[in-house]
Amino acid sequence: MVVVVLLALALVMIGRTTGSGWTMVIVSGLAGALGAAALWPAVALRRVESRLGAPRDAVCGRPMDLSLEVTGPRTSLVVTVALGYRDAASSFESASDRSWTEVPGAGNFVCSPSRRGVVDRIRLELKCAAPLGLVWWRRSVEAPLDRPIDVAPTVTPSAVPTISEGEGGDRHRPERRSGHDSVRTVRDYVPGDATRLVHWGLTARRDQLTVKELEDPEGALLAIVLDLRGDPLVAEKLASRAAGLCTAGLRSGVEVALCTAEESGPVTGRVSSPTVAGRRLARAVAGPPGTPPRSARVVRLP
Amino acid sequence: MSALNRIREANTRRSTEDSVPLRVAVTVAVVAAATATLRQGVGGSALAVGMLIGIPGAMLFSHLTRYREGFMLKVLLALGILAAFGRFLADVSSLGTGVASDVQIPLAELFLWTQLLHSFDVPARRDLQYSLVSSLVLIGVAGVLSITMSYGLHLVVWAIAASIALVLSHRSELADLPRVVRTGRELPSPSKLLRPVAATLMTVVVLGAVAFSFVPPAGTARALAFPSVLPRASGAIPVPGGLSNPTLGKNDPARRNADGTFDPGGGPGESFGYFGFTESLDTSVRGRPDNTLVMRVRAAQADFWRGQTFDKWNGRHWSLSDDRVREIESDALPLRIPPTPTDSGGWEGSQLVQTYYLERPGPNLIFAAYAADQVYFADRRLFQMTDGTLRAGVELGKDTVYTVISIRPPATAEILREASTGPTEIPRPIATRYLQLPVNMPGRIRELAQEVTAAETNTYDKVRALESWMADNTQYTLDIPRLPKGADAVDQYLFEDRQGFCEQIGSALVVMLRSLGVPARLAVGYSAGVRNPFTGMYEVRASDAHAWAEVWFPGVGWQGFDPTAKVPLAGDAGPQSAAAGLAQYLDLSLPHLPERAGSVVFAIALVGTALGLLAWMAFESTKRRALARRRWVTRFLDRVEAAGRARGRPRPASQSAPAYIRELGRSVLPDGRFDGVAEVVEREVFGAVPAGTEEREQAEQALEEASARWPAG
Repeated sequence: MVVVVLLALALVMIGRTTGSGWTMVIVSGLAGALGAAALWPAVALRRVESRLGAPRDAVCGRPMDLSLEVTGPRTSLVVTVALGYRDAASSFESASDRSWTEVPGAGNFVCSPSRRGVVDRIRLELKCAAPLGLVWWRRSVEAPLDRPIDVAPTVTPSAVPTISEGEGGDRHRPERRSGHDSVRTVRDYVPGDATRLVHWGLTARRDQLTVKELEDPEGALLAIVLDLRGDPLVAEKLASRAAGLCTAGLRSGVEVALCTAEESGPVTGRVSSPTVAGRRLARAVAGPPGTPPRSARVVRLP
Repeated sequence: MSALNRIREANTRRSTEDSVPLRVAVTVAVVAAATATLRQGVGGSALAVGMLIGIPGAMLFSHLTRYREGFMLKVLLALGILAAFGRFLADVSSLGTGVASDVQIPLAELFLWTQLLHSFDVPARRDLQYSLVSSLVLIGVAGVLSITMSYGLHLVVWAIAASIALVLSHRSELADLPRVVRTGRELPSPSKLLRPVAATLMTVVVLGAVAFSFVPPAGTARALAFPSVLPRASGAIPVPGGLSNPTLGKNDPARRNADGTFDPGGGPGESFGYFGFTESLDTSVRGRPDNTLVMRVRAAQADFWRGQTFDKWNGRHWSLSDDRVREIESDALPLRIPPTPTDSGGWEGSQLVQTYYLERPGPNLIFAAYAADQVYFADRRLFQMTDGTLRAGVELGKDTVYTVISIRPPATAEILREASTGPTEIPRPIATRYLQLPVNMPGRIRELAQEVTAAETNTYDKVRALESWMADNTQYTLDIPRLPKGADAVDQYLFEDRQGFCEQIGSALVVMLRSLGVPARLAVGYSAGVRNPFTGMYEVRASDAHAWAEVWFPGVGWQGFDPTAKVPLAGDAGPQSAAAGLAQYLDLSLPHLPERAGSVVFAIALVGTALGLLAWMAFESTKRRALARRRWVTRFLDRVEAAGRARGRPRPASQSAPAYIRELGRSVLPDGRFDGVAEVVEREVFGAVPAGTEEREQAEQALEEASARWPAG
């Protein structure tokens, strides 16, 4: 656009010095083109309406699908998204590269949360220069969410700890290893059952997949105590490690309890799946964590 | 890193542009700009052919080789540009004139060569955008050189192509980004391109028209270029300083024999000839100049384009009392025109630059607004009459161009009133020459002049009073009764016929003013003509040939007056915007457009329209075939979604088609059959065996009936 403006000014000078009327016609045309290039996107952007849908869960650094629907005059937009975290009331963090869409249109839009936390609003940045692409206009639309997005930390792969420490004692408990579990009963396999629970001997005899149901032994509850006070960078790494421990524990059939601090205060609670663990960890803030159950094996982070 | 590597790195190609339509649009814009430049007389036919074939060929080559590094190509192109620049320098140095305007043509040729060479290496979108910008420069160069409306066609083609190129370039730029939303199920539609282009062009035209009303008019106040061109065939005038007017045919004064008779070898006079451009003006004769375009005048302001003046009046004829000439010759332009004894001079007037482009052979008079100060004339020799008017020593044929810089007296109504109020002393040379009247002039002319101006105290108001009286009491017509033998033409006009044309009116004004003791003379030339707001030039036609009065004002000089032509005073402001005179120009031009445009333009328009229609029909046919190939379920879903959209329930991208249909059946199109419709769609989309014809018809029927029962809005 700057080039066009400079050329138009040069043409005015040329027209004024050579007396060429055509240069003034060209200058007028350029002025009209610049006017149209500025007017069309400005009007279109003003009339565009957008609706955004977000999932409940996301993982830090992983792509997250947002559903985007834009209506209004036929045009094209460049879209970027910034996420507003609950713990940063007035700021937004960029979460996507530039993408483009036709208007009207609807579909999915990928963004990546850059950090763990609870996202309760999204800012959509719309840019338009259509149809000539000479003048860009920008409009930000802040969209509150019906339901916040819990951004879980990235999962640092971890193994279930071999040494644990009970609350109030220094008991050392050997890790439960596969093959030493107490089998309460057996039943037919249903989709979703862990392969390690398959009773191969019975399966062979019955010619049907059969799995073991284990007793819930004393100390099968793993309590992860996460204290996020201190260096924020270290805290994020701890949250990632906690996520890894939760996942590992749940996969190995251990019940997992998370002891964290949330905005409301210390929270202790069992987590039934990595998703639930992710939500808990998303909400975890720096503060004194909840107290682990007495019977649990305890892992303290840090 | 070696210098070569640095150069290589600096020339690393950006993302390559694959869009063929964008490349074609840019090519059309570049070719339109090049053609427009070539049409202005730049380069020869070889260059024209080279450009018309070379630019598209170079663009094609560039497209085919767009993924190659092309370092050697860049080196070759750089050498080519250096060669073109060297040729430009050689051309300029061979001119040896030192006149800026002479550089225009070699400079335009250099632009053309640069454009052609650049077309060989436009692999990326940014390169194509550079090409578009340089085509803008080129079309601007052509605009500077152009003086005709034919340039407008090139400009329109360039503007359309450039607009399309900009739209496509923007789309291509967006396509580099990941696409957020897949609208899907859409057929390629020309409206996706045509609509924005058409809407944009319309907006550009409207806003451009508004801008045209506000941008300043093209002016020559700080002119850099003063063109002067003399066609090679221009022959010398037989008598140096004599008058020649080939448009008068056998009456051409240059063909007069020594005994006063005319050379019978002369042909008939041209239809556009004006009898005033000779040595004696017979006021009883009026030629019938037609609308032939005689010349174009590039000037910042309208004025009388004066050819010569007459001072001696015998009651019927005007003639020159002094036909002595002074030769003005110089090796370097401009030719400086010294003031004559009858000019007042001494004032600091405004400069008016006029460039005359002759479209027809004409008299060897150098037309100029009063008073010529400098002349750029290629012959470098002029003859100045004692009244200050100028003659060329050569015939002035078609395509002659010369530039006159006039210093115009600072004349406004106030200044002229002030200059002529109270007793004034008229210099002897002026009084002797410009107060002359025939001894047998009827006395009632003076009485009438005194009666009409009795209430006026200054010359300016006296002139205006006489003009008003003539406007109120006489009629302008070219059909006047024959002047009786021995009658005084002014007396006949004022008291008997009360009808006349510019010669009678101008003569009457001069004679009455002289009778009041006001120096005056009759000037002949052209009125300003119609200003063409597009070219910025005054188009002067044969019918603009005119005679008017010039009145002398002390301290100011000569000022033209005429009640029949609306020409502003020298000190009045010129046009305030580029669009000045647009309404008048369109009013005069539009009725003649078909005959002027010619059959070629119409043929082009017809062929273009036919090709456009054929392209449209081909597209529609392709579209219909594509539609026919689509599955029933796709077409049916389109209808369902349209029905939902019309009722405020567009289909979210995350919702499956069957779920959407069921939701419609429970909300805006409440119909129990929609569950069944959803099942049919489900089977069509996912089932191994598609639904039968009967089920499809039932689904369609359910949709139609529900839509009819629950209309949108």
